Amino acid sequence: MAIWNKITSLVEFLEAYPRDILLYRLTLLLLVFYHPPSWVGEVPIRIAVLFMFFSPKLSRNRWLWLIVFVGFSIYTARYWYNIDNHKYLINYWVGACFISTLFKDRIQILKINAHLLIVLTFIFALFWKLTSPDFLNGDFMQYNLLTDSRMQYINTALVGITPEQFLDKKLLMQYLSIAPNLETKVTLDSAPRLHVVALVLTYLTLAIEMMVLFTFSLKRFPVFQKIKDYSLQFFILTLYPLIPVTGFGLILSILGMAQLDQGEKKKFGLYFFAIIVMQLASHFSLLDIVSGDLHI
Amino acid sequence: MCLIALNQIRMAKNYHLSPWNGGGFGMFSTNVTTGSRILVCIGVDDRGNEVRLFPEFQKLDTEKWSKDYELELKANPSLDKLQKIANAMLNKNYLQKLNQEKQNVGEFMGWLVNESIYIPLREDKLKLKDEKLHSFNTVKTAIYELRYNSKDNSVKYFELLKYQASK
Repeated sequence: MAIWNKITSLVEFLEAYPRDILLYRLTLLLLVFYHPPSWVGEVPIRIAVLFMFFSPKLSRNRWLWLIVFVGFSIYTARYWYNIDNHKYLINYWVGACFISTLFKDRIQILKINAHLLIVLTFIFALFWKLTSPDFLNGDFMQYNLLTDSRMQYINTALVGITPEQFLDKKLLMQYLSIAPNLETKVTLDSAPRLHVVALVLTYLTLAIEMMVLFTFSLKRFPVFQKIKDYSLQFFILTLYPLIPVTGFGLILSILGMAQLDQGEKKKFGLYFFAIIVMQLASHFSLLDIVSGDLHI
Repeated sequence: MCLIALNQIRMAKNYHLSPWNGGGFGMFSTNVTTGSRILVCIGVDDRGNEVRLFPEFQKLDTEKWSKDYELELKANPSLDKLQKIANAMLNKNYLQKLNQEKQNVGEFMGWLVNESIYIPLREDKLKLKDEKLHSFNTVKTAIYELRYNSKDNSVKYFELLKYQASK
């Protein structure tokens, strides 16, 4: 009980902390953990962090944010074809942080941009899922259940294909990729429940993403305003402990926090909880736990 | 964000950019990824025999390559890029080596694999005394894409793009 009280008072302290400084510093933490693997993005972040963490005034310094933004953008432009989508999202958010420092009402600028970024991210993600030739028919999920090691345990638990079968097919596919030709066909394992499980996962993903998009887009309606953050938190907390794309989970949690109104303590606490879960998920995802891969 | 994402959609729908790449948030929507694509280089000798060539870009010094050229090619393949590789490979001589990678995976599955792959030499004088140099009159380059067919639950490579350069 004492620990719970301490956690509650910490969340209350953070919730009451100047929101702009809190968001700038959380963003910097995110950048320290997931900086671009190149000097052009990394060095500006290291320098900016040194100044920004020790002074609230410097946390709001536009020149430091400009350096970080320019460095990150150069990296994104150079490796545009290769970097993950959440790196783009982080880049846009860093741009929003810089722009907010140019205005007096920084918190409002951050709030508007965070909301917009969440909505746009889910619009484009849903566009791709709805127009992709192999998503709605369940082929994407079915193929990944059979070949993606992150989904192997879902496959074993729900479909019944054993880890040994999974490994055999993985080796065959590795062999095919070393000796690619247009004749060889590798037949994957099948099971009666495979297609049904794939379809359920496909439409579950779609439903959750649609729920996030609709609730955030229609936040003017009180009912959606009430549930929008729970839908995003549900998305983060169900997806990322399973498939740990930690950077994406973190930036979505920060964006979620940034668009909250002051005083929404419960929602703030849940986003904070999601940030902690993301840290755990980077090493203790359900996959690591089930596979017993917890070595130090 | 909208400009970049819309441009990504344009490039992925009209050209061969992988929906996962380019900032359009197409991740986890399709099986077409950079990882599902592979660069294939084939050399054709005087007698018309086709052999597998190993594309070691740093040895193909008649052209300049970015450090992740192959990745860029797989994410956003184009005929220009395949042409550049084929022309650079045509200018080189090759050494016949054992395809060690294929042998290792084959051994793991209990298969006896004894296949060759041809490795380019930066300069001919780098060859050892008893090694024979091989050159090719034609080099074919292609991007193969691994596609999943749910009807028979199988995967197979398909040719996405190809180019042929001859001396």
